[in-house]
Order: sequence, then structure tokens, then C-alpha cells
Amino acid sequence: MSDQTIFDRLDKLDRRVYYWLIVIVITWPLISPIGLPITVKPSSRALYDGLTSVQEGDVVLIDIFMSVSTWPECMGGLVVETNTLIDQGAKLVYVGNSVDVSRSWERMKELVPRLETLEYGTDVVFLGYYTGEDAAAAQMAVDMSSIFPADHYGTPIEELPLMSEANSARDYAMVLFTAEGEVKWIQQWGEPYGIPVAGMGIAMKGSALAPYLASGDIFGLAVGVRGAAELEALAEMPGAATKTMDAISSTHLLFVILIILANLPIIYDKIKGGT
Amino acid sequence: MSFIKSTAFKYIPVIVFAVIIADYFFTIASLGSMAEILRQFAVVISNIALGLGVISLLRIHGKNVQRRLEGRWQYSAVTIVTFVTVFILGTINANGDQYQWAFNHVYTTLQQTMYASTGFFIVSSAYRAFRARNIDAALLLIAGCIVVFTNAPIGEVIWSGFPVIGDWLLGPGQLPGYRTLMLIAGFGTIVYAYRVITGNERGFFGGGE
Repeated sequence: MSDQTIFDRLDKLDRRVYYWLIVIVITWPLISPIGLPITVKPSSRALYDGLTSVQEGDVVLIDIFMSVSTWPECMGGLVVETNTLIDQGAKLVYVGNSVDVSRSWERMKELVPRLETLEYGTDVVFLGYYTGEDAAAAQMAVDMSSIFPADHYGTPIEELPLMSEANSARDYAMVLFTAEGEVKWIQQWGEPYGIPVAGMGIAMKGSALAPYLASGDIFGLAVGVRGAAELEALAEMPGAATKTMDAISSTHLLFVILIILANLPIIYDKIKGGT
Repeated sequence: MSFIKSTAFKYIPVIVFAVIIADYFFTIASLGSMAEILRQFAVVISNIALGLGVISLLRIHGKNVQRRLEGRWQYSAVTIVTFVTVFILGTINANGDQYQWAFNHVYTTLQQTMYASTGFFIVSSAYRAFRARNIDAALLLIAGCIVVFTNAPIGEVIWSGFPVIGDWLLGPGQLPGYRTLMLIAGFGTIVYAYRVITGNERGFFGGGE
């Protein structure tokens, strides 16, 4: 008979136990959704309101800074943004600072079939990957064609009618960032040209983006899967993010329960008079 | 070489900084043209950096393979073979089926698996490392748990106060500290820029005193 207390056992719990627990708490809600209500935060509502304020014919620049690994967090929101902007009759220019941006673009076309119904070159353009961060954003603000002489498919930019009317920052109604890359748009487009900037951040960027939201440098923000689910709720387009929210709830609950369990031995020691 | 190190390297950053900063604040056509050229240089240089990255990658992993570095050379070999294969496929036809297959079914899957696996490490760290051994750690843990419950709908179901406190922590609770950090970084950047403009900052080209 072991003289180990339950707290000693908890302290030495095999990691496979909680690895299996996390597998269960993720898959269970995905198989059998609970459908917990999602309250929309003001920052997500502000982003959505900004999207619905876009006028027909306005040009919007969308920077896809997410890699394929952040699809679960940001793709849902990007799909809502794109659908909403198409509803508004906006013209869309996509660029990307992630090396796999073409993969994200292809995936988005699968998730937003309406993109294929738009006239490429007139209503929508995918310029593709760029490097150079702030320098590139600053140069795009004065002459897009100098950074993108051709689009992703190799079509010269002069042959794309949309790009002749949207070659500098002043031609755009809005810039939307995805996952990251907000600072360059705020500094190079928002401040000097007054172009409204907003977007989506991965969950761990939430606190880093909060100061820009509070200062008005970005007018709206959706953070993580929750932000994407909020956008889906606002647009009444339930999608992948909404489905994922129950799994987010269960894993977050498990996370906190594990922290409490892990701290029980310490509390027990303190009660016993240990250090 | 000494002229380049002592004079050219000193004044090139000074001129670049002066032109870019002046162009940001003033609308002067000739200055704008110069700034445009410099910005395009920056973009080209960052593209060249990608190439340098490739050379560096091949050099480091090539050495690992050459030296049969224990426990590493096999991975380095896989890296080199993968790089060369994808490079050849992409060079032949970036829109070809083989290249797209590698991108869609190998790269995408591996990236997503890598990112998803962090969930297990986070849970593991939650159990093993997040211990409230003193009052500071306890406060941090409690704040962290509240923010976790703020982001998950279940938090609101358990107690409606979680999102209220969590939103306060994410807003007024953390903004002063974060803004202070950003301002300090901003002032630091200004000081750094001043040092570059006056020719006193030479560390970025490997210079000493």
C-alpha cells in the first residue's frame, strides 16, 4: 500500500493523462455541439460596422499576414470580411506578407465561392506575396505598381483595370490586416493618409493590439477564434469559428481546472505549515 | 576598404535616414522621388535577404551532414533534400501539380500540425509550471484564469462577472503598462535614429568604436 497522498499523486500526474483529456474535450464538443451563446464585444461590432459602412465601388486593401497554421483562428473572420465586402459592392485587393499567402488565397476561394463570380481584375485582384514590411507599405502608399509590377498570376498590373484606379493609398477606403502586420498599416497608411485601418489578430495578439484600438489607430478588431465567431454571429454566417467555440470553451475550462488541480498540493502544503 | 568603412558606411545611413524622415513630414517632389527609390531599394534588399537565408540554411545543414553531426545530420539531410526538391519543382512550374501537391499536402499539413501541437504543450505547462508559490504568482494566475474565462463563452455561463473583470484587465488594467512600454520603445527608436543621423551608431554594419 503506497503512503502517497492524493496530492502527491496529483503532483506527479503523468502527462499522458492530460494529453488524453485535451483530445477528449476538443473532439467531444465538435461531435456533439453544445451551442453556448457568444456575446459580441464592442471591438468586433466596430469592425463589422466599419465593413458595412463601405460604399459600392470603394476599394479595400486586405493584407493576409496569416500562414496556414493560423487558419483556424483567422480564416473564419477573413471569410466574413470578404463576404460582407462583396455584399457592400466593394472592390477587393489582396496582398500578403506570409510566404504561403497563395495557399490562403486558394483556400479562401474555396470558402467564398462568390469570389469566383466577381470579375477578376475589375472587382478583385490578388497581388500576392511581398517583402519589405514598412518600406513596402510606405511605397505601396505612393505607387502600388512599384511593389507589384504584376499580380500573383503574372498579369502585368497595367492590364488590371482595378489597379489603375487603386494605385496609391488615397484610392483606398480601408485597409484590413489579418493576424499581424497592423503597425505598418497604421504608420504608413493610417497616420499619413487617414486611411481607416482595422482587422483581426490571433488570440495572443489581443493585448498587444488593445492600445491601438483604445487610441483610435484601428477602428475595429476581432481577436482569435472568438473574434471570428463574433463576426460570424454579426453577419449571420455561422461557420467554422462558431463550431469551434464549444471546443474553445471546453479546453479553456480544462485548462483552468488543471491549474487549480496543480495548485492543490501547494495549498495543502501551506495548510500543513510547509514553505 | 578603410574609406568605405570609415566614411561611406558612416554617411550612407545618415543620408537615407534624413531623406526618409524628411519625406514623411514634408511634401517636396524631389525628396519624394528620392525616398521612393530608397524604399524600393529596401524592398529589393529584403528580397535578397531571402536568398541569403537560403544560402545560410544550405551552409549550416550542409556542414551538419558533412561532419555527420550526431543526432542532427539526418534531419539536416532531410532539410536539404526537401529544399532542393521543392526548389526544383517550383522553378520548373510553380503552378504545376507536383509543386502544388507538396504545398497543399505536405507544407500545409505539417504547419497546422505544428501549431495545433502547441495546445498540448500549453496544457502541460498549465499543469506543471503555473504554480502559485508566492502572492505575485497567485495574482498572475488568477488574472490569467479570468482572462481565459473571458475569451471562452463558458466563462460567462459560469459567472457573468468574468467578462466584466476580464475586459477590464485587457483594457484599463493592462493599457497603461503596455502604452508605457510602447512609448519607451518609441523614444528609444528616436534616440537610435538620432545616433544614426549623427553618425554615432555603426553597430549594424559590424563597426566598433
